[in-house]
Amino acid sequence: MRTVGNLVRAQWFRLLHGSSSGLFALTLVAVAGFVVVQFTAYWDDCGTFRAVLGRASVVEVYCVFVALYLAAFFAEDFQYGTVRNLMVGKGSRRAWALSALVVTFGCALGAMLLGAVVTGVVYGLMGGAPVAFDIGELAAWWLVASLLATAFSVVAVAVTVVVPWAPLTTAVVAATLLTSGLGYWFCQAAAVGLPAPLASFVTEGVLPLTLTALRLSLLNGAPIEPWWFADLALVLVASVIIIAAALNRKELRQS
Amino acid sequence: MDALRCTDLTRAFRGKRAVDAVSLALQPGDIYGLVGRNGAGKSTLLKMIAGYLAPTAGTVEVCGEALGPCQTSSRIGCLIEHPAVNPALTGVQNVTVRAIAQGLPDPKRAATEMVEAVGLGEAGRDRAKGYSLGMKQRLGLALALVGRPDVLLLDEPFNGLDPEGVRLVRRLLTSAAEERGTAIVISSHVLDQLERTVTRYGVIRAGRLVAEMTAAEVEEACADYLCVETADAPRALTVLEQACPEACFTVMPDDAIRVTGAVEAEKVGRLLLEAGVPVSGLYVHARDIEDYFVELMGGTGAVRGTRGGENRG
Repeated sequence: MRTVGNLVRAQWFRLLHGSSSGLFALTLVAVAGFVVVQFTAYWDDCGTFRAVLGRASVVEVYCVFVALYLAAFFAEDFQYGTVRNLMVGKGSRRAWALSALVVTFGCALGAMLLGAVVTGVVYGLMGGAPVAFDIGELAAWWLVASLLATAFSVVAVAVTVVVPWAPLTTAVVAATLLTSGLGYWFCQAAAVGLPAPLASFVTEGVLPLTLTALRLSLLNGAPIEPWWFADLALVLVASVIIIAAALNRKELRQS
Repeated sequence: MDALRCTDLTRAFRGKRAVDAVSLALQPGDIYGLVGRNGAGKSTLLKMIAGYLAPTAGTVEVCGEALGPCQTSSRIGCLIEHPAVNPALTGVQNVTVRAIAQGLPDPKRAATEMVEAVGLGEAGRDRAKGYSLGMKQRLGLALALVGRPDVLLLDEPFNGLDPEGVRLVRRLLTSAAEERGTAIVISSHVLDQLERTVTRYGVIRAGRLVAEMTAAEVEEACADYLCVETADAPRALTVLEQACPEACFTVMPDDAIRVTGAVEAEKVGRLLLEAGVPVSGLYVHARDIEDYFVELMGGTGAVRGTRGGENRG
């Protein structure tokens, strides 16, 4: 655990001092501005507290930026070979996977909180219809939205670690495909042409569990279900296991 | 206890052995020069010791601790192939990241000291993307040295360094070995720098460690000698042995006489002339370390082919 702690601190230091960290912060602030624009189209549609948070496209937009930025951030370790500098003893490879999870979750929490605060302020300033504020509901939304952004990012990192070439390009492509929901739409379209039992399995058993479906549910202000947490936790655990397993025997070198 | 012990370390790529059952042991304070042609397996060997690459077979022990396949150790510092530098960070920040990961108590201070030690000075505060090859090499050395490791693995550490940098690095390595007992493995083609630094040599050829010798043995093998070419070697030998008891004489397979020790060519020539021994050649033979190792590495033939067209050391 000490190694994980040290690697989290090291990655956090790198995150704060990298040249693109300022750009990332600026992007999040710009996205917060985008929330304002979104409101002009959807604000009278928001009848509940959840819908206010969701309809402002906080999840929709922030997930994309968080996943893109963090996938590229961790891919840099393989692009420049700096992952070697983080290998400091037994269990360092597993610790790298866990530190990626912790750092990503921390960033996602921060980004989602920023989005939620901006949403609340803008909604108030624009004279939106009063909705019942519920701290418990906010906490649940914040947690599930952050887990969702983390899941998108960590799955993209897993793809980057598994694919043996061009880490930065792979990271950006993976994060883009995942967050844009292209895979989701492809499966949905493909299910139409599948035999009936298989099509219903895909549309009723698989697609509702995907990250994109959860994102759409959050966007539409659907009630937060306990199984969402289980689903996201499963995706995260599986991704970290994949990263650790792929790293276990991977040659560490500059790409 | 050995600082580093490798036993039968082997790595095969698609059935072809890049490193073949290499065993070596280093005591604390040893500086071990690893010499071999491009593609001989030097870098692959270092990567396996460092835990960057899984061996196909064999074991690595560092200060008595057995390392598993692909297991790194906090006791090892490495500079293998290219310096692992993040161009977006400054030199000091790059080293700080490693120092934090190592759990050093004051990582920023440790990083600053190490960047100063390798001679980066003020440049340590600049982003690494603007660094020259030599500056990156210095930064790579700082990354390897931070945390004062017990074992250093350095692949071409003199690459791209200016003369002052070369001297600085030599001094750093020597003091690490002498003062802290750091065991150092240096893989390099710059033989004259190795000659000034290492205490032992290992020659790797086609993945196998084919020879090991001390620096003194290499120095002896490379010493200049006087060569006397004559048609009457037995008589020449008798004359010279009587006149120069302090010198050492060896009759070579081609009947030439190799003379080492404190004896001048002029004196030898005069003695043989006075004794009426025919002399067809008299010259000082200078055999430098490069000739010696080229011979050991397997002559001047083609570079050994490796996977993916890469040249691996």
